[in-house]
Amino acid sequence: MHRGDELAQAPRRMDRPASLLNSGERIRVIASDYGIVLVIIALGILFGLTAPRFLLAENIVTIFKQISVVAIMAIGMFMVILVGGIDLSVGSSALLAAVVSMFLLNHGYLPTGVAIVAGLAAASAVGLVNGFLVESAGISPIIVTLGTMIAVRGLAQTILWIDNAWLWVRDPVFTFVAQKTIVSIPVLILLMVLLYLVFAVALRQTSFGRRLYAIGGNARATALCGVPVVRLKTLTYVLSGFTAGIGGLILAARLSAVSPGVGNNIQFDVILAVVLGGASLTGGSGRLEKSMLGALIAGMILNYLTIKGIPGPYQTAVNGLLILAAVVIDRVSRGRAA
Amino acid sequence: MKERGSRQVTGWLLKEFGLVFMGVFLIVVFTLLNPDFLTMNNLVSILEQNAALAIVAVGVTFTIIAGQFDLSPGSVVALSGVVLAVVLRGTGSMAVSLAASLGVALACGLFNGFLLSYVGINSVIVTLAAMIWARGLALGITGGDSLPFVNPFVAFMNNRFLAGISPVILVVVASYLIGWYMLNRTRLGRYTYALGGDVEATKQAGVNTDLSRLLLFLLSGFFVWLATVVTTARMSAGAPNAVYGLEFDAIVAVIIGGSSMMGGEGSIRKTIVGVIFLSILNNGLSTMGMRDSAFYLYKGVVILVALFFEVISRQALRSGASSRPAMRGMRGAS
Amino acid sequence: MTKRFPGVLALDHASLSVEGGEIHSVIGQNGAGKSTMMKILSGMYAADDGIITLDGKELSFRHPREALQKGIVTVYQELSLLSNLTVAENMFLGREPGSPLAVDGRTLRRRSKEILEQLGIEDINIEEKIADLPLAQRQLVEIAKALSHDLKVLILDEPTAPLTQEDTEHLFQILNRIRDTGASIIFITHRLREVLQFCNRGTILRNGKTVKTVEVAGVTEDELIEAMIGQKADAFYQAASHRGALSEEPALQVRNLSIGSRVQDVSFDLYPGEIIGVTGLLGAGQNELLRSLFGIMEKSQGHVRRRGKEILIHSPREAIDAGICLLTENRKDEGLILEMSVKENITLPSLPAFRRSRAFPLLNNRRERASAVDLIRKVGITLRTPNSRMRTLSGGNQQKTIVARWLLSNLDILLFIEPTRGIDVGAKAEIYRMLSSLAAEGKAIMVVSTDHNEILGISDRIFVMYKGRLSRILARTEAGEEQLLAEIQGWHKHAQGR
Repeated sequence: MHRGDELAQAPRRMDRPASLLNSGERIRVIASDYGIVLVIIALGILFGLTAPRFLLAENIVTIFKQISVVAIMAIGMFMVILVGGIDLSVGSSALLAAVVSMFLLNHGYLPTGVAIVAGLAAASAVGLVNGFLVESAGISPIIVTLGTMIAVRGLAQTILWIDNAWLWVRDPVFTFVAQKTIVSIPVLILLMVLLYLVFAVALRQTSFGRRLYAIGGNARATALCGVPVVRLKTLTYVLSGFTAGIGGLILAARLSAVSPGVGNNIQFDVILAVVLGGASLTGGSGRLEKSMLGALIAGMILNYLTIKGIPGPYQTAVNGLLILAAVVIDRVSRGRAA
Repeated sequence: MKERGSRQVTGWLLKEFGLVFMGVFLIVVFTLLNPDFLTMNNLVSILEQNAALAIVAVGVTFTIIAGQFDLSPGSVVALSGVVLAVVLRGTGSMAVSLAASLGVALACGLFNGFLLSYVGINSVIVTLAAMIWARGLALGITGGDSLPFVNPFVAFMNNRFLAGISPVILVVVASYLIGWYMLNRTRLGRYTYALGGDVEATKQAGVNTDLSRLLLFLLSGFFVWLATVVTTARMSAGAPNAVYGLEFDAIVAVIIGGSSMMGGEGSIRKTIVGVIFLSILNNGLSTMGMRDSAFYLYKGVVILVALFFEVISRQALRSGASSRPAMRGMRGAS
Repeated sequence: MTKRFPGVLALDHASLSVEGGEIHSVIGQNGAGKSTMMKILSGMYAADDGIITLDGKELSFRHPREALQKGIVTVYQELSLLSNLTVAENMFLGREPGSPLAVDGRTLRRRSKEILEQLGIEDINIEEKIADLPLAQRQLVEIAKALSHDLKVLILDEPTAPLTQEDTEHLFQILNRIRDTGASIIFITHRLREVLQFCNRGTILRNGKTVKTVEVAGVTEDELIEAMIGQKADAFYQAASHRGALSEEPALQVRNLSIGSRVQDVSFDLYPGEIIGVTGLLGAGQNELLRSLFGIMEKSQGHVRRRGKEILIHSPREAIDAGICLLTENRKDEGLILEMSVKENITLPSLPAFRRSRAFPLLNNRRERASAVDLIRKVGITLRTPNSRMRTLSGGNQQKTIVARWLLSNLDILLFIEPTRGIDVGAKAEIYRMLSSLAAEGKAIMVVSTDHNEILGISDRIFVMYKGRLSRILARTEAGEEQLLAEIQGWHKHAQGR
């Protein structure tokens, strides 16, 4: 940008006070804030009309249960993306958490609580490694998390092989979370909502959350305000690992077993949820709650395809195209900001 | 004006020779574990087994120098290979099948390049999505199975007719020659470096940056097709599950070889070094006969170490002046 | 021509007329519209209204490429060279000889050499990478690049800002050669001295309008300044309204501060109530000095003392805790978070203070908003709501927001680097007023600036930096522009003490 040329940075149309916008622009603002809800409703209607099974209460509950893992992992991923990074290793961290917990439970005769904490700690530790390599060593997050993705999966699978690549999950706490209900709402869904509540409030109403948004907006300026940027960014990676760990434990609980393929490629679904939820991939903007809605949209679409009998691989292809669509919409609604 | 402090020298040493040291170390380890490692036969095998990687790395070199990422090659190779097998089964003509698979590979490159240049989506996203949808398509078309075929082409490609060298190897060599020429002797090659340096300045100079980036991805598609040819020839099948992770290996090879992750800097020569290193690593580890999980673990660790050296050496070299310049444009003023 | 941006009128029927074979300067305060006009001429922007004619023929551009084709070449201050390419490659980027598939390297190199020779530039090797060249030489390469087109009009934006006197003269030798071929040169600068010394005619812009066009031969510097700011210099800089040091005890003591090769052995005392202007050639170390006081540049030696006690500053956090803040020259990259609201930008360093209670980490929105509104009023920003996005504010208001941010933190030592860069005249006056009243309140202020008139106008004492050393300290009363310029160039360094 040119020196002495603040005028060149012409204010974007959507940011002027509301009263100065004309009606066309007003629609755009509303669309970008609430659009996602409208999309969900529209899809719900569309799918419901063309496949009646879709709107059954039982199916809706199924959709929510199916998206819960991705949605929970999206909490951590949202924060990483918010500060301008990305974490491709969440699938592997999830597996690691599951493997570590189950291993300890099956072999160590430790109380469930300890095993769970150990698993989450392992996943968080991966996050710490990621954070360190990205922030302190300065390597691109894509490369780092790619590396940890491969290495951690290898590590987890190595441990798993001690048990012939398969661990049963029989612990009552796990089955409680996975299968039981409280006042007929599945525990799983309650857990998801609870986690979202906690983190959404933290992001909107604490100095921690405000600082994350600031870092995402302009990390350098934020550092010059005395905010410990490196520490906070590393923390987001740790949190990403942590929520990945939760996701892994839930996956294990739902499948009642841990196998080497658990969490494989789930990171793309998680990123998709965050992007569909309107967070900008360059960081600095987005609302956590919308990531859950993003996961919901993806879940609805895949559920619909399953009902319609479309085979797995094509569903994967649709997934890929969904990511593209989400980003195109994101770009178009922001205008071409380089 | 560059002060050569001891930090500088260490950095330079690491950069130029770090990889070579690591490579030699690995070769020694592998030879100790397997005395046949250093035989001519084995070395040629290494090259053949990693031919796809070597070829794709050329295309990736272009993408990375231009400051982009391409995560789609593995999936596009699979898709293109599947198309080849399907068309071959349908028409029986290898020539037509080759053309069809070329078309697919180029079309994918074009699609990605278009989304990047003209819609303005980040290359990581575009190619990440392509990685997913291309693989999905490949799996969907075949229902998950491989499509084997019989054709004299296979025997032809794998025949070591000249001092142990087969056409597969020739394709690899040709790729590098073409890549070298394109990068160093054509306008597109120059623009590749320019794009990696500063897109705005390049645009100001009057270069059509959108078109250039589009062409880059198209070129990448061409190399992906060559990789497809080699892969299907080796497997004698169109396999939707082939070469998972090829793109990551290729990117790692290019970066370990010394091209900058940020773009603007790099060369074919550096890629060759990186590819050789990675091929040795791949081959050596797999002959040790360990499980997949351990394989990925060791591989991941070695790669992280190599990357670490790369980053350290780069930082050490940059800190020639002991403090950062106060303003842009001040770099180099003494 | 007229150029309107939403909410901002950058050019208001401004006009410019340049003859062939002359060096014509365009001067005005930052924000007066010079850059905008140049960008329109170079094809980067399109004017909303107005006509451009070249040799009597009307022109309109839709892309910088078209301007280049017509022979109008612009050299920006942020050079458009690619540092990872060589001189020759940069000169012909986009127009390489040979065909697209077979670039003719030999012709490229030959023609590059020819152009350099034509300009009389002898000491640049065309095979060198731009990254390895010093700034003065990079500029010459840019100009040589301009010559590789069929040049009719050469526009230069503040080319001499980073140059020494020697480099400047060398540059003008080359510019004169170009002028003598009949091309026109448009020269944007802040340095009135250079206008009087090297240019044929000049046009003054203020607030987007053309004030007047003069023959350089018959005009004085004071007349130029007055035309630029629209009032007499004294009133503008608030020279009379604050009194200098308010106490005998220094707010900050710096001893033997060195930063690598950029700053060497600097020592000084800073007193509450005074404004110290720091100036020198670009790269003389003044920016690095302030940055290290704020903890963003590592010093290699030296002590900093606050109230008698030595303090260690390794990070902005530590500086802030010691009561020091810094406003950098680069507010877009280093100061503002454009996507956040004004309120959020202001409260960022002080967030912990807005917690509802020690135990309960949630922010008290009402208190935060109240504090922000209070400060917004204090620094004089006119806003409908504190929730406006930072991006929508003008440069002057943006700068004031950053000042408000630090005022909220209640710090005693305020460091500014180029505080009035990119701001229109009216806002500048307000900032000078604010600096004055802050000094009167007892804050200790240091201002780095390359605007000599500004330095002379607002400072109680002037620190001149030359090649990393604090070569001279001048009291306001003893400084004049001649002397200041001489000191900056290092001409009196033999007479310096400490």
